[in-house]
Amino acid sequence: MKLMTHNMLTSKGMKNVKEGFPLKIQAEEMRNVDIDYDRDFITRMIPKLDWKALVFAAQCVGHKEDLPDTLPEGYENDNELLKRLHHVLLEVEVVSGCLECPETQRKFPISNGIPNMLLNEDEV
Amino acid sequence: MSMENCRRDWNKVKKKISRCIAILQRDLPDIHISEYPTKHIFIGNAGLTTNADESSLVELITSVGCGLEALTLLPGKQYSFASFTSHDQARTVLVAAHGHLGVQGSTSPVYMAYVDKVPMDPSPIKFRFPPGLSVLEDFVSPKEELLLMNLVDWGASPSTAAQGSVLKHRQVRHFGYEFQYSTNCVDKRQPLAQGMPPAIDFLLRRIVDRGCMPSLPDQLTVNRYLPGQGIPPHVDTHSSFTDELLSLSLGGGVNMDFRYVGGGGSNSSTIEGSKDKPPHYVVYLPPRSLSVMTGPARYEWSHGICPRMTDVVASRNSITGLQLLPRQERISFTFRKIRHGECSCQNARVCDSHGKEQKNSSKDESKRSTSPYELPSDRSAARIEREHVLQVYDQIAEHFSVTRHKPWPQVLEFVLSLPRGSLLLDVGCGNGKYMGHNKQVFQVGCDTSFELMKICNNQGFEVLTSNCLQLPYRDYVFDAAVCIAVIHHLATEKRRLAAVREMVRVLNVGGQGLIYVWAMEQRRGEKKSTYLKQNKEGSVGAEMIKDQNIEEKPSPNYHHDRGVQKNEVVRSGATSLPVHVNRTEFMQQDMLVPWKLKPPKKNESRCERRRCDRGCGVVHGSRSNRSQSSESTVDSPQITNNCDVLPSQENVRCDNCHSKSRKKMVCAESRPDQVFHRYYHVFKQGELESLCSQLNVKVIKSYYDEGNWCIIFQKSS
Repeated sequence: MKLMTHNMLTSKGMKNVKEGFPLKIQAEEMRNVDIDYDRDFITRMIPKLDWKALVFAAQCVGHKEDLPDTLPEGYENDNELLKRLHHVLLEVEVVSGCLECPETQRKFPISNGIPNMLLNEDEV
Repeated sequence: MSMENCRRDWNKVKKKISRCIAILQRDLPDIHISEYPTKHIFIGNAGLTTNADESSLVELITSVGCGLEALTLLPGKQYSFASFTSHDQARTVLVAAHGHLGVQGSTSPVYMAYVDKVPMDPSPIKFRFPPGLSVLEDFVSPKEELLLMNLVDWGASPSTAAQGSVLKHRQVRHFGYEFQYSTNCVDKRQPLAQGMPPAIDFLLRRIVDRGCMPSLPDQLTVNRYLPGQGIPPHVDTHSSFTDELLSLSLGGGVNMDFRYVGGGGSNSSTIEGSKDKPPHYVVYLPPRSLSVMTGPARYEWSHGICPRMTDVVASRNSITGLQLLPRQERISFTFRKIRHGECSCQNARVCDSHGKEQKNSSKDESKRSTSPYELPSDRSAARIEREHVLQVYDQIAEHFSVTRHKPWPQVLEFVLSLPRGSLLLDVGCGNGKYMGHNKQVFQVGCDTSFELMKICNNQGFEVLTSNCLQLPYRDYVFDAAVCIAVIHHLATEKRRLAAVREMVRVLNVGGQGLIYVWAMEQRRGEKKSTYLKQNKEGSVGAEMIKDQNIEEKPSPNYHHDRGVQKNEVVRSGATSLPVHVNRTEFMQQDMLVPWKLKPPKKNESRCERRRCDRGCGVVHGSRSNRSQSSESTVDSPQITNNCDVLPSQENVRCDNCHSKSRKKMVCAESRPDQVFHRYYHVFKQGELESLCSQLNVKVIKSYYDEGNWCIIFQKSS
């Protein structure tokens, strides 16, 4: 699971969960992959991100220092930032571990890089 | 053959039967093997899951002996039982067949043993009638039979206005009123120009004179069944016809299947059948007989004729015993009387009149089919989906993925047309067929099957497991979403709507969604869909259906390979679902579609039993000395999507053949093909649009593509 994906995930499919976002990441095994840097692509992704959640996620997986707490203005011109963003969003992957719902603490396991967000019958 | 070979071969036979016995003893510990001949034979490697069925077993047994009284075949099992009048007769058969002869279509001989008893018989009870059924033999003379058979000219095109009077499975003519198969009822306001033919006046009068019906029938349906043709199980619509249904059989005799679908009530105490399985009776209708269905047989039992080439009937040459009767051309005259007004039976489960005041009386086209399939509750729906979708895909994942490699062009076009930097969701992404095509978008996928998600993951796609009814994504997050061949697996309209609603929820305003679902209409005008075209032989059941294309599966039904498909109804939860015959027109909207699992190639196969040891439960088995097991998913063990199924193992020894291999294990045992049943609700024209119209979306495009109804919509706000 990439952090880009994590940014979109929520546990609010569960009953009694209001937001369910962002999910806390407890990573056991991580890995880095190589993805071609496409500056334009990253620039276009940024407006779609929840920045706070991204920073939170980066923190969870030990990449806190890579990103500023708030998205600076003029980010589109900051190539260094964009490169770090590219890395954190697309190249860092959680292979195994779990995602934790902030409201219920329910854990969603991740194995083989695949989060299991299937809910039980009594949770919906 | 040398003595060594004989001995070695016989050792093999002994080993095989031991393994079969071990399975039996695990399944049914009450049944004991006997060293000495008994009346009952256990057939260890011929059963419903090995493509054997009653016919093929009767054929084998009667070719070497006689006195066969009953066969017991259990669903989901690879073994069966044969019971004889005496132990001598059983012995004759076992000595001749065990280790020597095989069932038609099988490559190995049968392995048999004597047993002290056979299990309670869930297979159809012969020679017993459902309540309300009577069969009057010799209702017409041979001369009259000839006259009636020649009454209808099957060569000429029907003069009625409606299309589809000549059905693919059997030819039909209506007189008096037309029975419409699309809605399963009669349009009472539109009698046909052709009334009852004058030539049968004598018959109509005889029917009233003999007390079969209180007044003259006014609707006649003539069916012509060629060998191999049948009619799916159904209950005649309560509101269309009155209490009595009469069917005159001409030409050949046939076995008719009756199944109780009424769902409990006062009758259940008098009805036999094992727990959880509705009774299934088979009644032989001789030529020139009139069958009369009233009461429960008319209203609460479904009747149908299996499309097959032979019937198993009582033997004519002995007092007891079974024999195989080849089908002959059969013409049936079904006489009915139109009911004016509604049915008052109060049996909600099977009656279309029940609660009719509450139903929306809209245009004729939207009238639902009122066949035995009744709308399941949400919980039943979830159960149907779990057994017949979720669990199935996990088990067929690899094979399924291999057959899903060619993306449909119009879907690809949608994906490729998305602007740079879009976020795209693939709901029910399967093996990732539509992922990775557009490098300019960020794409994520989800599906219920962990096995399929691993296949995606191996290709580097971002995926997760989830149910489309609860998408784990935030609102307004995606620029586009596709949902290809997914929502036809949901068992109620409410759930299908919920799935689309979820898809809309996660889209941005102005975001577009694309949905594809399987269409009921597989034929558009004269043009057949690819799915139908793969049925090269034409009519169902008459000939072998060959596997021409790897997109869909061969030999649609687990009974046997001779091309004869048994049209059956499977009880799933509270609902009866017919089993569709692959590559034929859809006869109903809700059904189970078979998938025959091709066993993995030898070099790549994993030893299933090893897999089971890790608790993933795909195939039942364990480390100890077990024979091949081939559980059907009809009673499949627990599948957990959380299982961490083993990655490729190195240097592991296979329990079965003891061979070692570096990456995966080689299992030399060949397993009989398993068949899985997937639930489908195929969509009628306009149905998908009607779903979308209930949501806040604008329909951009609505079209038909290769047997699918498709829609592109845009989220309005």
